[in-house]
Amino acid sequence: MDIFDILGYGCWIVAGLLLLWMVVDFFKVNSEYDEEFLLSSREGHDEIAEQEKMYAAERERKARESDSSI
Amino acid sequence: MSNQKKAAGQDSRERISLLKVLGPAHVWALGVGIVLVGEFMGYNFSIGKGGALGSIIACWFIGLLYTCVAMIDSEVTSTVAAAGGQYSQAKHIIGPLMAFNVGLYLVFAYTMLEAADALVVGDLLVEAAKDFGHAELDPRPFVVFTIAILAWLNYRGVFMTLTVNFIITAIAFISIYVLFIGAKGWAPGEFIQPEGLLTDLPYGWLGVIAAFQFAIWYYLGIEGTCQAAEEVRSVARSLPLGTMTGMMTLLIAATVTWYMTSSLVPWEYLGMSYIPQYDAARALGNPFVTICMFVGTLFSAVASANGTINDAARAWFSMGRDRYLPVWFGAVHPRYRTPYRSILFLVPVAISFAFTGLLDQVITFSILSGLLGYTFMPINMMRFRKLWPLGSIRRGYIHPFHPLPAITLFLLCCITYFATFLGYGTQLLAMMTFYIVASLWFHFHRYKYVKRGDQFQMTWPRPKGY
Repeated sequence: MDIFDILGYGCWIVAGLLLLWMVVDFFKVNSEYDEEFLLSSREGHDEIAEQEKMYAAERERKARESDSSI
Repeated sequence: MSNQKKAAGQDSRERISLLKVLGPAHVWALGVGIVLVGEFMGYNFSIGKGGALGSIIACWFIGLLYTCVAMIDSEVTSTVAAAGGQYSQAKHIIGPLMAFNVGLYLVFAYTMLEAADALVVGDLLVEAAKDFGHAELDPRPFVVFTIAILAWLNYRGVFMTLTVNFIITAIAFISIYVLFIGAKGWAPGEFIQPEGLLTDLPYGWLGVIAAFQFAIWYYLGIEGTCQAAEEVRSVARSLPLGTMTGMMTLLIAATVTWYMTSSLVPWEYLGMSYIPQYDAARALGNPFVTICMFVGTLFSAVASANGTINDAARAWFSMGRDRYLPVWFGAVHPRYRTPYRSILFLVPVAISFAFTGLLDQVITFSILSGLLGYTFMPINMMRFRKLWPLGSIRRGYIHPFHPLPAITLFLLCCITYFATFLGYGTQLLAMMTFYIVASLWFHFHRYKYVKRGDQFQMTWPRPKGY
C-alpha cells in the first residue's frame, strides 16, 4: 500500500463523512422548521432594498422629531 | 425547541430568502470559474478538427457568440433579481413551456459539466500517480470526494463558496501566464515554434466549421453568472460588471492558451490530448512550469465543479419554487440561506453521471444543452425589447447595436448546430427527443400544478400592449 492507496481510502472516508453530515443536517432542518417557512422565499424579494427603505423612514422620522423639538 | 422554531416561523409570517452577499468579484469567479477548465482541456479537440489555425478562427467566432450571450444576459438579468438566470428570464418574457425547457437545459448543462470536471480531477490524479510509478490508480474516490466536498461547501453558504472559487480561479488563470513566461512566449525561436507548428488548414474550411463545436469549450459556462442574480447586493451593477469582465478575461485566456500550446506541441498530438496544457509544460521540460500547470488544471476543474453545483442547484430550486418541479425543492436553509434540498438532491445525480466514465459523451450532452440555451437568447432579447422598450424598465446595462448581437448569436448558433451534427449527430437527435418528451410531460401533466399568479412576483411594469 503506497501514498496513493492511502489517499484513495482517505477520500472515501472524508467524502462519506461530508455526505453524512449534510444528510443529518437536512433531516434536522426539515424536522425543526415549519415547511411553510422553509418554502417562503419569493423571487424579486429584496431584503436590502426593504432595509434601506426602513432606514430611510427611520432617518426621516428622527429628522422630523428633531425639527419639532427645536 | 423544535415546536418553538416551527411556531416562530408561522406566527411572524417571516419570509426566508437567499442571502444577498455577493459582489462583482464573486460574479466573475462564478462565470470564469466554470469556464476556465476549458482552457486546460477540451478546447484542443478543436485543433484536432480544424488544425491550429482553424482552432483560433473558431475560437474568435465562438468568442463573438459568447460576447453576444454575455451582453444579452447582462441587460436582461440586470432587471431580474431572481435565481434561475435564463430560466427566470424565459418565464417572464416568453412563457412557461420555454422556461421549463430552459431550466432543464441549465440543470443538465451544469450537472453534466460538474460530472465531467470531477472526472477530470480523477484522471489528472491517475496521470500524476503514473508519473510517480503507481499504475492503475482507481479514480472513483477522488471523483466522489471532489463532488462531496464542493457540495458541502455550497450547502454551507454562497459567500464562502464563491470566495474560494475566486481564489482558485485566479491561481488557475495566473498559471496560464506561468507557461507563457516559462516558455518565453514573447521570444519565438528559443522554446516556442509558431512558424513551424502553425500549419495551414489541414481539413479546409469544413474543418474550421467542425472546430466550432469544441471551440465552445473556451467559454462554456460564462452565462452561469446570471444564477447569482438573487444573491448579489446590487444586481444592476454587479451582474453586468462581473459578466463582462469575465468575458474579457476569457477572450485573453483563450488566445494565450491557444498560442502557447499550439506553439509548443504539434497540432496532430495536441488535438488528441486529454491534458493539453500539462502536456505543453511537459514538452517544455521545466519542472516548475509542469507543477504549475498540474495545479492550474486541477484548480480549474475544481472551480468549475464548484460553480456548476451552485448554478444547477439555483436553477433546480427556482423551478421548484414556481412548482414547475415539486415545490419541495424550493426550500431555503434557515441558517446557511442556501437551496439545500436542491444541492443535496443533485449530488447523487452528478456522481451517477461521473461513474459512467464517459467523459466525451457527458461533455457533449453538456455542450448541447448549453447550445439550446443560447438559441433561446436572441428570441428572448427581441421580445424583451419589444415588450419592455428602453425607458420602460430600469436596466443596469443596455447592450449596444440591438438587434445586431441577437441576430449574430442566432446565426452562430445555427453554424454550431451544423458543426455538432457533423461530429455527434446521434447525440444531438437523442437530446432533442429527450427535450420534446420532457416538454410534452410538462404541458400535459406538470403545468396543472403550477399556481399561475404565484410564479410572477417581480415588480415589473406591465408589458407594452398588455
